Amino acid sequence: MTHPFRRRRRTRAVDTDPQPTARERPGLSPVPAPVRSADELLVEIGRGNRQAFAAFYDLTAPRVYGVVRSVLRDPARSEEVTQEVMVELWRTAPRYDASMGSALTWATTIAHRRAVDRVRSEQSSREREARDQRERSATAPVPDVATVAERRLDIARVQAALEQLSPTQRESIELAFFGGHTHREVAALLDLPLGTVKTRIRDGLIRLRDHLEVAT
Amino acid sequence: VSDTPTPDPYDVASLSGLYALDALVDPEDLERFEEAMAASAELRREVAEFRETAARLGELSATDPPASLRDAVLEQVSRTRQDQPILTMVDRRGGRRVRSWWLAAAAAVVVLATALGMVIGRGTVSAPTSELAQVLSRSDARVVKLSGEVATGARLVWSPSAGRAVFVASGLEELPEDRVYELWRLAAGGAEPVGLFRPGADGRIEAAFDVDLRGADGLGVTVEPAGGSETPTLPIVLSGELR
Repeated sequence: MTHPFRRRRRTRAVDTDPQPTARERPGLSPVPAPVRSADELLVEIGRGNRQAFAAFYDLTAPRVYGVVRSVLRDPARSEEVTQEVMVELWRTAPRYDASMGSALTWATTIAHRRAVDRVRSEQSSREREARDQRERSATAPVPDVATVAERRLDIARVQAALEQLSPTQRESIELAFFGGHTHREVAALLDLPLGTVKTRIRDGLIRLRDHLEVAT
Repeated sequence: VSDTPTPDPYDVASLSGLYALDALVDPEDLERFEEAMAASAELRREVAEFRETAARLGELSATDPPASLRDAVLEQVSRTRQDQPILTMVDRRGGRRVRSWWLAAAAAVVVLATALGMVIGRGTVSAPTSELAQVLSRSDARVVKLSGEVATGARLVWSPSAGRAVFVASGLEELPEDRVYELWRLAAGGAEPVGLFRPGADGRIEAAFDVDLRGADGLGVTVEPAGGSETPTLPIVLSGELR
């Protein structure tokens, strides 16, 4: 095994060559650090670069923790699952392939899956809770106020896209994604037939996809 | 690759949204949807786009985790080995069996698992994390149909970028205790063993193998003595063409 902090010869140029466009993160060192995207970092991580992983953690952990926490709600369990997810991302990075989506999508997909796996392995207590969860989980979380301008723009865009949906489309998607609920649970919570929920979720995702101009 | 159109009384493709949000848990629905996905590049693209869309929603819930978590994660990472990257098994300059030791080792694991009475294939794990789902999530996933008398709907779903293939079939004929099915990669240079499997209790099988099928012409399945063979014992009971 290579030393964790040894730099490989073929490290990307941006490593040593701070870019003029480098943005500073508020509250951090005033020295402009080279900004690398999660996708770029992932390539390095795939080659065993632990420093790149630390930077990747800083970029993606809020997203991973946020998704896990919106599904699990309990902070302690959310931390546990977030740690599992981050370590899984590190472990499987050498097998990551761009065809699996962008780095951020990949991280979010795994985070969501692990969170719902956890919830469903604790299914019985969950079922008891399910009925009274509607209030808490039917809406998208209100994001932290303390976000940088760039994130605010993203958030505004996603919120605008959500507003394009019909109320049922929106509620179904939010219950499934943020609440981690199954098809059957969503149908029960919204008192709708299974077929209706299925259609609303798909139609809603199509609308969101088109509005956010997602293309693969 | 042509696929038999599945009769679709209730439009399996419309489950894509539920699937992408991990909300599809009914085993029958999952199985039918993944089968449909295996047969349709369009459906795989739709799922990928929905996942990307859902990931954008994740921006709304982004929350900084406690600072202590960073140390814990980095500490665990410092002592966690990464998975091996996918290696190409076939030397393109014509040499073959570059990694046959490795294939043998993989076969040994399967044999051991069989000997220990472990069920190879479909477990009780929720299927979005199944091997089949993982291979299907690759945009370069492709499907090879295998035909023969010992099974119905036999397919091998594989992805060159993942270096992974999943063999699925139902109605797989039972075998005597001392026999196994062996999957072969057929190429100009001959037949190379891919792996061994036995039907599950209900004749179903979902078995995953590390394999690179680039450059191969076809696939074959034979019945071999427990432990498998180095060369196939005829007849070939299931076969499929790769190009």
